[in-house]
Amino acid sequence: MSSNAGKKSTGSEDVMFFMTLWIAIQGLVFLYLQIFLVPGIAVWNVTPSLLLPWVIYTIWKKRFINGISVAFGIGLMFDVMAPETFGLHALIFVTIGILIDIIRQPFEADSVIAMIIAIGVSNLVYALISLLALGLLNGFDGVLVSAGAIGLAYNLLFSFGVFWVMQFLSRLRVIISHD
Amino acid sequence: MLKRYLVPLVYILFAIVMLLGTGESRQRKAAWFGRTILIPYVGSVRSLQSAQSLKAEVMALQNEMTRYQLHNLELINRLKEYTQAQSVNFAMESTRFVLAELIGYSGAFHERNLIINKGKGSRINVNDPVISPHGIIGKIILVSDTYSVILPLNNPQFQLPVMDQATSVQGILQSDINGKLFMNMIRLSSQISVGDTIVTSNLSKLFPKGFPVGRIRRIQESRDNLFISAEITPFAQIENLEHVFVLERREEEYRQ
Repeated sequence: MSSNAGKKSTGSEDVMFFMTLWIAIQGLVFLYLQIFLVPGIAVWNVTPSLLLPWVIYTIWKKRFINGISVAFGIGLMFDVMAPETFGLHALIFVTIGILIDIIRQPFEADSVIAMIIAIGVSNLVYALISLLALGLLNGFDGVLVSAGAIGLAYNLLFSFGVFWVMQFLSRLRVIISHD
Repeated sequence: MLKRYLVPLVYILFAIVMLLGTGESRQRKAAWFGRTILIPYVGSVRSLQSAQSLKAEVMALQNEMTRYQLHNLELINRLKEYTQAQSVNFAMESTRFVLAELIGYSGAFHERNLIINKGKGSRINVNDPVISPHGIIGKIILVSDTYSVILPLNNPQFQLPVMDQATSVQGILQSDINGKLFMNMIRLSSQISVGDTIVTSNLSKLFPKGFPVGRIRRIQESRDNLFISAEITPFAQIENLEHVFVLERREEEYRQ
């Protein structure tokens, strides 16, 4: 009896490990894309965040604690490349992770309304915390506020697009049949 | 609830600690992370960024090189035009000319005409003579605003009074269907021999007298035994032309 319980526990840990590893690999891919490709689609010097829809999707679809740990790590790694605001993205991603976890609980897992609300709230929080942090660090001015407004709109569109592409891809299945 | 969010709250506290302080202290913290636990990541990003900037630099240099190559080509072409214009050493003192580039052909292979990139805008008129640095080419038969058509001397429709440069023996320059040039209608017993230079005749209304046409390659009697016919090797190779000179006839010459 005790032996069976021990085996179950080991299997569950393996699943958790591989899930965390998979989330981490996904996060790294998104991180490198964010650093090298996304600046190419900047509009009025506002670069959208590819990591934001990834965090939303990961927290929504995967285990909360694994997702939020990886999101924190990826946020910190992203911040290393922008030392002026070191810690900002780690803070935002963890905050958004907690918010998404709170938002999704009353809804069903595939609720489209809940997903839309989660994406909207996440983008709003991202824009507000960024605005607040950058304003406190560098001072508030019209340029910062207008960039924040453009960033919010652009990120919102970008997040919806990336989120639904990820959801579509996650539902694809490769079927190999042998007739 | 608290247990569920305990770890995220620790993360938040950690992130706030990282964010607090002056810009310099944040940079020091980021640098420490970059030097220690995140060194493989920072190293890979720096390498990729370096490769990206090098690629951009290579692209910019390639653009620059292409620009210089084009400029160089333009200078070579200008030099070619200049040297060709310099090499025109016929009696050009009283004749203005327009330098034109050959841009195409029209018509069937043995009766084809040449198209040049100058037209009415360059004061080119129908029947203007066309030459190259080596000899005559033909005459203008059609002029539009931006291009003109030349009837070359190897076209069977082209005819021109020519003469032997040494003895002034007169004849008519004509071409057969194969593009071979002949000086026809030479009177029997005329002083003409293989190797003589043939030039434009004083009887020509288009070309000024004395422009080189070609050299006599072979002499034969005509079928009716009334005239001599001389096969001519032209000085100008119509097939290898790049630039030509369209001579502008003077108004008084026109009227005459």
